[in-house]
Amino acid sequence: MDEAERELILKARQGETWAFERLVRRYDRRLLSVALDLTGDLGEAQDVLQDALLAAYRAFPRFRLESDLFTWLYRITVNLALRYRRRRRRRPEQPGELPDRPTPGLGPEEQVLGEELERQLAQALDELSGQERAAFVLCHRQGLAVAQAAAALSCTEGSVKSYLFRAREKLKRLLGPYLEA
Amino acid sequence: MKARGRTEQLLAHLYGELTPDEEAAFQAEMKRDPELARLLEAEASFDRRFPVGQGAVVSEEALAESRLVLRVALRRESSRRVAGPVAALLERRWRWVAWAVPVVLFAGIVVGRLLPLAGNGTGAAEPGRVVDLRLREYDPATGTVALAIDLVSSREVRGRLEDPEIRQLLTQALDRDLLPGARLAAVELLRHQGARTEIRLALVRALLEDPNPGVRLQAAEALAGQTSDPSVQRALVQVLAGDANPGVRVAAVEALKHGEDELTRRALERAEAVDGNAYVRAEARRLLVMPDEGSRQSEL
Repeated sequence: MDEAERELILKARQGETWAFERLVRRYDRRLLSVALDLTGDLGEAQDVLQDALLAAYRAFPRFRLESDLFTWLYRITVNLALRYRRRRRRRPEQPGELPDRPTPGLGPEEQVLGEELERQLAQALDELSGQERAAFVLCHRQGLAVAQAAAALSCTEGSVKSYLFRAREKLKRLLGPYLEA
Repeated sequence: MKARGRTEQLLAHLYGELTPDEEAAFQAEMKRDPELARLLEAEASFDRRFPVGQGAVVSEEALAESRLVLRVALRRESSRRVAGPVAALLERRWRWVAWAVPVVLFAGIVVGRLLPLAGNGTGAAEPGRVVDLRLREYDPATGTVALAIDLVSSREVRGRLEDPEIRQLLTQALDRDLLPGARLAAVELLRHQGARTEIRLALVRALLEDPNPGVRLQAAEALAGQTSDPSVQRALVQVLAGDANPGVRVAAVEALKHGEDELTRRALERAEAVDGNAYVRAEARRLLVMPDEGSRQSEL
């Protein structure tokens, strides 16, 4: 934690909203990204982010300086995103969509194939259980270490590895033709 | 070191979690065991299609929208926290409330009777909606009151932000609207029009003169990309040196992060030395020591 962040935390704990805003700006892009990966819907991801940050603001007077702020915010966001996903009614005609990823250096045909792959991945992710999806999103999509993912999901590292392995097996099966192409 | 299952070993290798010794042992095992190499190739094929760390891309527009929504929500939350102590304070001031309540009720009845008269030819009142009511005088002896009533009539204007009429109305709102929320909204809508001189000047006036710190803060953020204009740079330097609100000074120091001229450097040195807020001092120091760092978003 750098000195600036420490000062912001002290101010935010006193209820200074400008300090809290500055703090979350360091991490909100990543938080919105993980919410989007977990929910598959931008509007829902934005709702998750707002609810998570408001919950964090309300709980902030109790936040301990020795804790890791990013992991704390991440945990709140991930838990809320999983809760949103459990509450959402399944809409088979509208599978989750991930935004198209522009990939520099690819020609138009490769770009279209890449976009199709992302759509197929989004559909396949919908077939995973909440924990499997969360472990895959945190470790594979977001690049978190297993220990960080375990902290965010409030489970053991062994559980994360198990969910991750099951997620990969299911995704390889569902996306097999695309992997062989 | 604990013995790991084959699957666990594979995943640890793929996600970069093996120690150097474990990685060396894994590579050696792979050379000896063709089955392990085949399993690794199957996993690696998946990772080639879906590389690690390629999470959902967030657009700047979505992020900006989320930040604005959060700002509004935090203000509401903060107001709710203040309402409790303020209500307690009001309860202690019951004496003026005791006589003010019947006066305001009387004023409300008077205003309510005035409004239906609008448009029926009596000329007793202007048509419109009451937006403000101020008690000027009250004489308990004679029972007379003097009230100032602000009435407005509203019309709807539709258009694009690029339309001259819309820009003019928003600029006027920024200069004149009584409600800070309206001035905030005007800054947000005008922030992407800062290339136009009249908009930039309106934002500078808001930065220097608006009584509401939230409006001044937002104006500083809106001007962050316009520091090539000397008037913008001078305004940000002035705010950094003298604004009473630390949040506004924070926004000013961040808006100045791309400035490498002497004026900005002196302003940052002064802020580092004497600003009353530790975060402003820390940010000023960071920008002086590592000017390139100021333009990169903080990452884990």
